[in-house]
Amino acid sequence: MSPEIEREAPKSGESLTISSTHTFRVGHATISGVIPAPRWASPWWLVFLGLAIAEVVALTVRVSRVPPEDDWIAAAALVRAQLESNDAITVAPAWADPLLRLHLGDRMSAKLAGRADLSAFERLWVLSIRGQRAAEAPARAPDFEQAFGRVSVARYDLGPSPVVFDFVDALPSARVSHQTREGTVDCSWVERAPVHGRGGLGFGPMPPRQRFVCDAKTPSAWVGSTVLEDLSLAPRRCIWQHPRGNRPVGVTFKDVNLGTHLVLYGGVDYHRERDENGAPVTMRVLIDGAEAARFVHRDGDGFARYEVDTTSARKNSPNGRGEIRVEVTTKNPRNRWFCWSGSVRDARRREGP
Amino acid sequence: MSILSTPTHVGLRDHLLGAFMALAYLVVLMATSNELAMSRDESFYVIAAERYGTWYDRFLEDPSEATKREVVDRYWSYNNEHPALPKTLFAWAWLVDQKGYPKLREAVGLSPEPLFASPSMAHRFFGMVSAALTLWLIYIFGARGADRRVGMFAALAFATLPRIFYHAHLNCFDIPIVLMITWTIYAYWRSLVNRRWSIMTGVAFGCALATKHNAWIVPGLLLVHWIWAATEEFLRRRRGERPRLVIAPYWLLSMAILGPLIFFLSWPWIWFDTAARVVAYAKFHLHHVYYNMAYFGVNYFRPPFPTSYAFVMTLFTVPLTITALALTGVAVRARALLPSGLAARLMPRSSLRADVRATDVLWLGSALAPLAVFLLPTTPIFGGTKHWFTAYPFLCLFAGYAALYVVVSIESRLISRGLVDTTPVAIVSMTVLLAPSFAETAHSHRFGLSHYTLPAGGVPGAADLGMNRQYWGFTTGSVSDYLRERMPHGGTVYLNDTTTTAFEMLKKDGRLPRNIRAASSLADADFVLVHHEHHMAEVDFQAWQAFGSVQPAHVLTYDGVPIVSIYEHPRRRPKSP
Repeated sequence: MSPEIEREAPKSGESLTISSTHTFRVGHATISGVIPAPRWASPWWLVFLGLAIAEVVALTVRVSRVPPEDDWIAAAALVRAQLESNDAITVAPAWADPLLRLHLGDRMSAKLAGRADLSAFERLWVLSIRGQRAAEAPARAPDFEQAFGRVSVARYDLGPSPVVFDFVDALPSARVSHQTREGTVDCSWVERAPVHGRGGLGFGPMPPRQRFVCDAKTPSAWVGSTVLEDLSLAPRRCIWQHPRGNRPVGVTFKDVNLGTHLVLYGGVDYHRERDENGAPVTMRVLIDGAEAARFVHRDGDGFARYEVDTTSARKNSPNGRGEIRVEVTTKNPRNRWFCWSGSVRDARRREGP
Repeated sequence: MSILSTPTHVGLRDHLLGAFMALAYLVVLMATSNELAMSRDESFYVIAAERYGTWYDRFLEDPSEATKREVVDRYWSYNNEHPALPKTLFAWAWLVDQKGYPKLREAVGLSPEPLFASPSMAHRFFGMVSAALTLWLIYIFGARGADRRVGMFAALAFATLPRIFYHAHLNCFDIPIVLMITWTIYAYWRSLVNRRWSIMTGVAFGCALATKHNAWIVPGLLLVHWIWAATEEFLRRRRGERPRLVIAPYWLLSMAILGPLIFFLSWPWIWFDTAARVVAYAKFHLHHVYYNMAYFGVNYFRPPFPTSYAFVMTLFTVPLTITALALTGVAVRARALLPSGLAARLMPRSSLRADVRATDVLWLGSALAPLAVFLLPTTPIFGGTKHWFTAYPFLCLFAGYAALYVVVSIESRLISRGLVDTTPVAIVSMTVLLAPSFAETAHSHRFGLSHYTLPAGGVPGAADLGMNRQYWGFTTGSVSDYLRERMPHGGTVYLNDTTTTAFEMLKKDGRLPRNIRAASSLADADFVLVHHEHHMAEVDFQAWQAFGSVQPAHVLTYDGVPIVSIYEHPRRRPKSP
C-alpha cells in the first residue's frame, strides 16, 4: 500500500477533478501554489476580513474607553467636597467598588461599605462608568448629575433617615450574656482583646479588638461588630453572635426608642452557609421581656431581612422606649457563624429602605 | 470539490518551516516569560521538579541506592497526584541550569553561572518548548491532512490564542498534554495508512499518559474514529475498490503495550506498590475536589455545574474571528463529516469526498471530545479553559480551512481581473485574519487569565457578566514594582492566593528584594494583597476589619477592571501632626 497519498492534490499544471458546474483557471502563480482559482469563490468570504478588522477596532475602542485615573479623581473630588455625614456612596457597576474605595475610601466607613440597605442614609452618591446604573439607586432621575470624562456622578436625595436606633452602633453600650447550666453569665467587654484570626480564605470574619468575650477558651465565643461575607459574597457589617446551642446567647439594649418597627438582617458566613448542611439558627426578639418575634434562619436564606412591628409595644410603654433583647440559639452550633444587624425605624420619617 | 493543494510529499522544507515557527515562538515566550510571576500550580511543580531533580542527581551517582523504595518514596511522594514526565523534564532543565551548565563553564575556565536568565525560566523551559513543538506539529498535521496554508494558519492561530499564550509560558501540564495528545492523534492518523506509525502511536500515547490524565479519553476517541474509518473501508472494498486503509488496529495494540510501559517507566513513584498507587492517582481525578469558579455571576463550587461552561468560555476567550472561521470550516467540510452513504443522500450535488482516513471526522472528534467532557454536570470547572486546550489545535485546523476559502476567494477575484501574482494579497489576507489574535494576545499579556475577547465585551464586559476575573494568584507579579517601591527597607506582605513558593521565585528572579517577606497573618502584615475573585471577597473584608479602613492603598487594574487591591497597615500610614 502506498502511504500518505490519500489527500494528494494534482501535480502542478493539472486541473482538479471537480463537478462539471465548476471550472477553474489553471496554472496561476498564487500563494495557493498550483491551485487555480475557483470561479465559485464568493465575495461573502470577504466578510471574514471585515470581521477581523472590526474585532481589532473593537479592541482599540474598548481600551480607549477605559476611564482614566484623572476622571475618577475629579469625580471623587466633587463627592468629597459635598459629602455630608449621612450620605452613602456607591458605584456602578459593582465590580468597580475597589476603585470607588481607592478614591473615596477615606470617607467611607465599614458601616457604609457593609450596609444592608440605605435606611441610615439621607442622600446617595453614585459614581458610574460604562453608562451603568446602581441597583440601589431610586428608579427616578437623580437630583444632581455631572460627568467627569468617563465617570459620571449622580446624587439622589432620599429624605430623612427613618432609623432611630442602630443595633450595631449601640453594641458597646449593650449587655451581652449567655446561658449556661449554672445560669446566666455576662460576657465581659474587652477593649483590646487579642486578634486570633490570621485571615484568609475560609477563615471568616476578623474579630474586632473591642468585643464582648463570653468564653476566652473558645475562639468563636465572642460578640462584636465585624464584617461578614454573606451568601451573596457581599460585605455585611453586623454583630457576630455565634449561638452556643439551645441555651441562648443574648444581647440586650436598654432604653431604646421603639419607633414603629424593627428591621433585622441575619445570616451565616458564606463558607459556612453555602453547603446548606448546617443547623437552623433561631433569632428571638424580646421587647421588655416579652417575645415579639422569632425567626428561623436556614442555610440558603442568605443575609435575610426580618421585620418586627413595634407599634403595640410602643403604646404599652409610657415614653415610647423599652428594652430590646436579641437571642440566638441552635440545635447544633457547629459552623454557625451567625451575624446580624438591624435598626429600629420610625416609618413616619421616611417610607422605603 | 477540493481547493486543497496537499503536496505529495511533506518533507524537509516543511519541517524546516515548522521548526522555524517553533523556534520563533520559543524566543517570544522566553522573552516575555519574566513578566509573568509564577502561579500557584507552577509553584507546586517547582518543588516537585527540584525534588525529582535531586533524585536524578542521586541516581546518576548511585543507581542501586537511588532505586531503593525508601529513597524513591522520599523524593517522589510529593505531588504524586500527577504523572511525572513533564515534571521530570522541568527537573532536568533545572539540573542543567543549576549544575550541569555552571560545571561546564567552570571546566572551560569561565565563572560558574546558570544557563537561563532566571530560575523561573529554567523551570518553565520545557513547558515553552512543548508549546513551540505543538506549533510545528499542527503545521505538519495541517499540511499533510489538508493544505500547507491550513497548517500554517492553524499553527499561528493556536500560538496567538490569548489563553494559550499565557499557559504556553508555564511549567504546568496543560500545554505539554496538548502536544502529547495531538502527537498521539497524528501518529494514529498516519498509522491508518502506514502500520509502522503504530509504534509511534504507542510511544506518543505513553508520553501523553505520563503527562496528564486528559490522555485517558484518547483511546475512546480513536476507537470511535477507527470504527468509522474501518466501516467506510469495508464498504469500499465491498464495492470492489482496492484496499487503501490498514484496517487491523495495530495502533491499539501498540498503545495498549507501550502506553502503560512508558507511563510506568517514567514515574518512579509507581515502581513500588504499583496497583495501589495507580488506583490512588486515578481516584484523585475521578473524585476530584471542587474549587470555586465564577460564571455569569454565580460562584460555582459543587455540582451540578453548567453544561454550557466549556462552550461559552471558548466563545468568550478565543478571538471571534477564529471561532467564526472554525465553525465555518466545519460547515464547509460538512459532507466529509458524514458517512459516505448519508452524504450521498443528503448532499448529492457536492463533490467533496471524505478521504480514506476520514481526517475531518478525526479532527472534529478531537475538537469536540475534550469539550464534551464538560457536558457532564459533575465535571469540575475550576480550571478555566485550560482543561480543554487539547481541542484547540483542531479548532484552529478547521479555522485554517475557512481561512483558505477566504484567501482563494480573493485570489480568484484578483486573477479574474487580470492580476497574475496574488501572493502579496494572499499574505495580507491571512495576516488580516490573524490580526485579532495577535492584537488580543499582545493586549492580554501579563493578564492572560483575566482576558476576554469581543463576544464577552472584553475584560469589562466579562466583569459585567460576572465571569471569573483570574485564578492562581500570578498577578502578584504585576504589583511587585509597587511593593518594592513602598518597602525600600523591607517588610511583610499577606499573599492571599499567591503561594509562598511563587513569592520566593519572584525574589530568586530578582523582581523582589530578599527583605520583603510573606506574612502568615493578615492582621500583622505591612501590606495585604487581595486577588479579586468572587469567592475571595472575604479577604477584602478581613482587611477592612483588621486595618480599620475600607480604603486600599493601590488597585491594579486591567482595562479598568480591578485585579489586585493592596491594603496598607495603619501603622505605616503617616501620623497626622
